[in-house]
Amino acid sequence: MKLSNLTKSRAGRVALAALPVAVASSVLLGGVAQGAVPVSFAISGQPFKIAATQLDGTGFSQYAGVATDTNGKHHPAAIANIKDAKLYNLCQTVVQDTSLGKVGLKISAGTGKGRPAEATDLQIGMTDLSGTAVFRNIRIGVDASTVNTAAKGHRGDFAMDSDSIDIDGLKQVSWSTQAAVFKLTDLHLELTKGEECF
Amino acid sequence: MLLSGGSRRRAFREWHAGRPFVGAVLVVLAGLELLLSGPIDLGAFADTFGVEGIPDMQLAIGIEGVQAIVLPLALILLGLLSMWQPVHRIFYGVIILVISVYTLSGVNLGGWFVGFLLGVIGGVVIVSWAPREQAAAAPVPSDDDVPGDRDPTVPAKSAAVVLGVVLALGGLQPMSVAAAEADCWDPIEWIDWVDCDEASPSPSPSGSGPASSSPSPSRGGATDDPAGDVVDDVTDGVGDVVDGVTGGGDAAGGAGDGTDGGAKDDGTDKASGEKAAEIFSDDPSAEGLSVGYVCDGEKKSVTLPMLPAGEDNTHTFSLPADLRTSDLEISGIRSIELVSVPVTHEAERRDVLKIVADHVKTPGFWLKTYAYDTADGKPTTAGTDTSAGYVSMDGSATMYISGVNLGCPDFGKIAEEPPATIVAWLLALSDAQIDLVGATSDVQTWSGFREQVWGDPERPIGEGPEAGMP
Repeated sequence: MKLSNLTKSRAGRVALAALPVAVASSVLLGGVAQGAVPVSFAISGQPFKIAATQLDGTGFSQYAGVATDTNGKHHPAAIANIKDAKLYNLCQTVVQDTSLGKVGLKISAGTGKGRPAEATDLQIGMTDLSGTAVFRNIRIGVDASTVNTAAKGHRGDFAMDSDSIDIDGLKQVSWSTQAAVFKLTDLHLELTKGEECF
Repeated sequence: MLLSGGSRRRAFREWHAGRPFVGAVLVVLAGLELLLSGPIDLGAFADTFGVEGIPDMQLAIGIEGVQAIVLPLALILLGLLSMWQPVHRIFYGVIILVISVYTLSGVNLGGWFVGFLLGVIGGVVIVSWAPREQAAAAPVPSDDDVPGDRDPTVPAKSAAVVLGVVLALGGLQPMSVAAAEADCWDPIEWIDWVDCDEASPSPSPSGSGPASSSPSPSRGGATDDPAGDVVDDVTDGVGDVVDGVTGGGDAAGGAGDGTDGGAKDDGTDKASGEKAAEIFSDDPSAEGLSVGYVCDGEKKSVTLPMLPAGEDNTHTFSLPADLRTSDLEISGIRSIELVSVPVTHEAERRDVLKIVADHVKTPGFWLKTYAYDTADGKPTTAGTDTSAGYVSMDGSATMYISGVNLGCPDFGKIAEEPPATIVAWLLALSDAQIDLVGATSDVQTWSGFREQVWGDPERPIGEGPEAGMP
């Protein structure tokens, strides 16, 4: 079929325009869902929960910081930095009570076997963290302005850093998460009725 | 434009029939939605549309924050332009499509898909739109703003659309598109374009940088002595006042034994203070390990005198954290000495007891850290509260301890039956609270830990079942 025949009718022109867009979008979306195409975003303003069966990270530090909620109020938080993180079976939920009942947003990624979600320059402002952790070359108690990561805390604050951090059974409550590069393999995003990761 | 008897509505209909009006409106809406999905919180965004109860989440996009503003603005502009200059609709429409597709990666997943869909549909409508006279082959009164030569030849339009394909895919691979264009420029086989390009349609960002980002600090001059298993060092460290303590040349490997020191004994006799004076110094200027205790509700502090062993500037510490453990297991001790370390809180340097061992295990671990800051103009104290089933440290396990806080020790018993070594004495302090200035090790495991932030008056951690004090 000659291409010029397509452009004579509107339906043909629509098809001609829509088809490549559909192909490009699905390739791109597929890339995002596969973790091949990174997305970058940050969420803050309200506590939310993060869970992962396993986190493997390098370049870790943690120190005291402040999280700001949507009302502009400040809350003490522990700021954790991880240079490179692999998150297996990542789950992230935020839930809000509304007049219609509970409404939540749930993001899951890295659920494929051997295909974790990956984050670079991850910074988390958290209030609660649990699991079983193994650190390598850890230093506890160093001054927050001397930690071995690019982001540093205030001089005079208690801090810790390590070359690597592996956490099994990660459960976390955070005020904020941001990552320069987030590769969300097997991304799944859904609105929920308040279901949480844990 | 002459409105010869026609109503305003008819004039508008003619005006809007002369341009891809619907598509342009959709694109403008797409731009607005994408703009609002950026660093503006979703809740407020939903409120403006009358949707209540969407979580107040702020969505920003880090380094790419600029394109989250520029791309939506470009969409709005292109939507308006395609309305004002319908003759350029294909050019505008193709760019709209490219930008809309790219927002999937660049602007919060295409404004959570809404802006992406609006932009793509609007872009398709604009590109596929044609003036009525072309489709119907009938002359229609032309608008003033639309030049007469607006009918592009069909091949030219095809090329434009194919260009759109290339650009749209190029949005995926900005690096490869330049090379790919030359090889793959085949309008008829455009659907196979992806195959033309050998590269997989996935840019691989340089995400995984080298792991060793941190200059690992050189460790421990004190651990140089491999034969330091013997606690000879202790005898150097502990002051000669403590004959019993210093006398022991015991191998510290069996550090768990021989701890008959009744450090924990609530029964205090009147002479305990005097007995204590035989071992401990109440001179505040004395150098050594600070020992705090509370007897009869009175806080006191004495010093276990030790000879300083010099400075250790490997790490800069801040302020001590409170450490409690149900037990303290130390094996393979390499050295114990009193060193002066740099600190940043309230003083320049602090004397700490530095213990280097192969292995340290602390069951029933509980650590409370402190941070001082101002929030909303008021000074606040906050920190972390970490409990763990156990914490084990292996490989150059080093603890920096600035003090020990006891309940009410039976100093008399300590003086009568002094423990063989200071480590033995420390090990006996099962319910002591240790002022932990720092701890380093090659490998450290926190088993079943939970770390919480305390100090937020609105979110006290004391409410949870496992929260707060151990």
